[in-house]
Amino acid sequence: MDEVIRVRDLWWRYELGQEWALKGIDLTVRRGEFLVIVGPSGAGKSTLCLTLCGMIPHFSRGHYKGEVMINGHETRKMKLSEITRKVGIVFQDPDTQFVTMSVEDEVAFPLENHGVPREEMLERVRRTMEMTRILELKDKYPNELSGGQKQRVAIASILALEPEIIILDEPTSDLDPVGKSEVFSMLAELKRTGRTIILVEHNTEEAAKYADRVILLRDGKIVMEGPPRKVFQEVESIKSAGVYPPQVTELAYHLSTRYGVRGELPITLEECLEWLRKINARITTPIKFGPSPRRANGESIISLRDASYSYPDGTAALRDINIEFARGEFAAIIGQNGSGKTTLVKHIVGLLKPSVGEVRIFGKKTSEMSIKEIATKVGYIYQNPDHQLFCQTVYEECAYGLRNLGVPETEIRRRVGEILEKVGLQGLENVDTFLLGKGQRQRLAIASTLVMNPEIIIVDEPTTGQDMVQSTSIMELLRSLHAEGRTIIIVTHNMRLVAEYAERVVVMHAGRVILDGDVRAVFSQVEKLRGALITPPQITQLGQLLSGDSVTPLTVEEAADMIRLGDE
Amino acid sequence: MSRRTFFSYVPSESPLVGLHPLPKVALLLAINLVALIIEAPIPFILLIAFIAIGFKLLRVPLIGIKKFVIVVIIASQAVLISYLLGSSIPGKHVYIIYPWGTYVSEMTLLYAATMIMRYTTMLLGSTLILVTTSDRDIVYGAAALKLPYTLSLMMSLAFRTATIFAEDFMKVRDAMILRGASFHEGPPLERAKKYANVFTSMIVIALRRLMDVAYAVQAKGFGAAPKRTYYREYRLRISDAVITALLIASVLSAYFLKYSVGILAFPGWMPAI
Repeated sequence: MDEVIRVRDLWWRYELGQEWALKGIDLTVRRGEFLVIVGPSGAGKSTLCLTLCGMIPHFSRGHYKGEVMINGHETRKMKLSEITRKVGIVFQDPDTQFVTMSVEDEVAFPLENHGVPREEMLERVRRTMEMTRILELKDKYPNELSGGQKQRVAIASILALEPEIIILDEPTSDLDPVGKSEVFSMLAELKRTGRTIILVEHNTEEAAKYADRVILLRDGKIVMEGPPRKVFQEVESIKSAGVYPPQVTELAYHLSTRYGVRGELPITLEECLEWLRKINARITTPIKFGPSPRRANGESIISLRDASYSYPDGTAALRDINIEFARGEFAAIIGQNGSGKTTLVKHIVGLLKPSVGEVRIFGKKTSEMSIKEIATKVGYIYQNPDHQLFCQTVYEECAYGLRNLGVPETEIRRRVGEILEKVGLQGLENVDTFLLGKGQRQRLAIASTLVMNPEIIIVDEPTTGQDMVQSTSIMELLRSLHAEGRTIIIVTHNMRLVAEYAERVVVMHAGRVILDGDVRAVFSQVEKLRGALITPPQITQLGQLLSGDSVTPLTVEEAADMIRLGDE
Repeated sequence: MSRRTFFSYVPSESPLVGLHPLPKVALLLAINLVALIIEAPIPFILLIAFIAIGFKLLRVPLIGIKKFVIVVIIASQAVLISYLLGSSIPGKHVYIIYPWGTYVSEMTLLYAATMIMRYTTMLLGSTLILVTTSDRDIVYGAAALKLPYTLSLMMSLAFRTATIFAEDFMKVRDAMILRGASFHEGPPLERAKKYANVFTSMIVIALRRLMDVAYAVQAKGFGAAPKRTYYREYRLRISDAVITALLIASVLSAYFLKYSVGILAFPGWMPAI
């Protein structure tokens, strides 16, 4: 394969940045290669993508050293429009990159910009929509599609220009498991057509299946590079860099360490099954998992009875919901994009009232309570902290809710101090909220809700777009709050987090609750989950495959404990 | 199948769906221009009635207007208060004279009512734009008028992002309510302060979104070719041309009636001395 991109000693610092975002990057990408970039938040992954597609330095101001060559031409000396013909980029949030109001127009937009004759354009738009399986969506409004469909439209609109290189910056971070698979399977198809794909991704399990090469970026430098098989062998190193290795690799690493097994670790589910067979692994019977997580047995504090809700445009978002949550539970609500998860929690916090049926909080109907009254009992943390932070400083942000409740200033000072310490933001009281990093903003959003001392805490997608270290830190915070006796409800697409932290799972599909119960029990309902387009964590799937669906491990540690070697 | 517009959907049976973008854009511009020209109350009432009938005939979903009723009420209150407390419009009868020198006459009331009608008409006109047009109408309408593409793209992006900002606004406001804020209680200054907080957040979100949109537009090769091509082909029919001509004529007539005949001008108003 000949090289299509060559990066030599590339340095970049944003105009207002104090530090170099990229520090001497050297990288060669070959034609037809599938390259995956992993790394913690702030490592420079998105910045590197922007340099590869010419946005830096053409469209961003800053200090630039070194060179990026596309097919032997230096991007600095090329026109941006010339680069966009060769390199297409898809950003993380598809909603903000749609320029038009129909799928068909969106795919045609780049072709119009490049002056492609109409007859040719008609053919290319049709061909691209067919290839990306969006032809039946052509008249739809892109912003109203499901997450997976949106990303397919975003990719199609770049693909119509037939670029040689396609860059995707975390395209699956907001998607449900099926949406993620849709995107990955489409990328695999594109690779078969000979295109070069560069993908920034947190999901190493999918990357392991498709990537030819992985680079680990940290602090603006490439710290590890090679085929996924080589990079993911370094389990401890990549974990210390804030990246989750594939769960099966982690399991094999545990077993290798425990039993002294030598050789290459598997990186995919299929490889792991084969590896376990080769090392003569077997499942212990009877299987004893560690103690079950503490189950709530308190009184019911949230209840929805025959609750249905339709949005003003007629979309039925909740259908006949009957569900209760008890004091002290740690529950996760899961389901594909658009299944009604967020609508359900908006009913609990009182932002929406059911069209039919009733919602009660601590026995009282929400229709008879003010949101202010509900807010003293239920805290709701948004997926995007930017929607929840509106004060000038960290201190003011935390004090806001307390002032509305009429708490005296001395008490406010005490409570804000305590809460900032709890979320690790002490000492930042006077810092401007909008200057905080994404992880810190998310923790501030939690703190600003928590300071009001609600008994129930609802968090919508607590870890989207966060790396392993940040995700773990947020989830551990929620776990400690749960240990204090608070009721925690999370809405998430991250099945790994559900398995590791939640006690109970509620699965939603098309506005209905289709499964509800203990995490292990729910994840063992393979067929029903498939019907809801949910895929359990990789380690759970492995356990089920090994045991013929009779065992459902939730964590790597549990899976390691259920496996023995030889006659042991 | 219904057609998506900036703020709503227009049913497929609406006469708007088959209309060329040019008369559609012309209709909306005409309403807003006539609203700017008119000063007298009776023609305003006629224009508002015309728009209301238009909404009905064009089968525009009235849910689009609902969102703006509150804006009309707030704007009307502000206009009324400013005229009642801060104007000196001479009339036959003076009802109140304030210590700071301004006063209220029957002309003050008439003038305030007229201004409220003007805002209402313009708000209805703007709503009509948002609930009946899509980016395609703006882009192809502007192209038919030989306006630069950059201008029409900017306009369509501005309208489109307005809907996204409206959603962001609701989210931020909800977040404040969930932390005990009440937008319906307290003195006006305090309520205004709460909205100022919403806008602080909105500015940051808007800047981030604008940056993302700018990157996306550039990544899609905006301005790459010296001559842009168009994916869709709209043929201007005779009926489209006639409607456009009638609309232009109506604006010109309104201008003539006000400035040459004086029919649409505000009766008896003179600047305060």
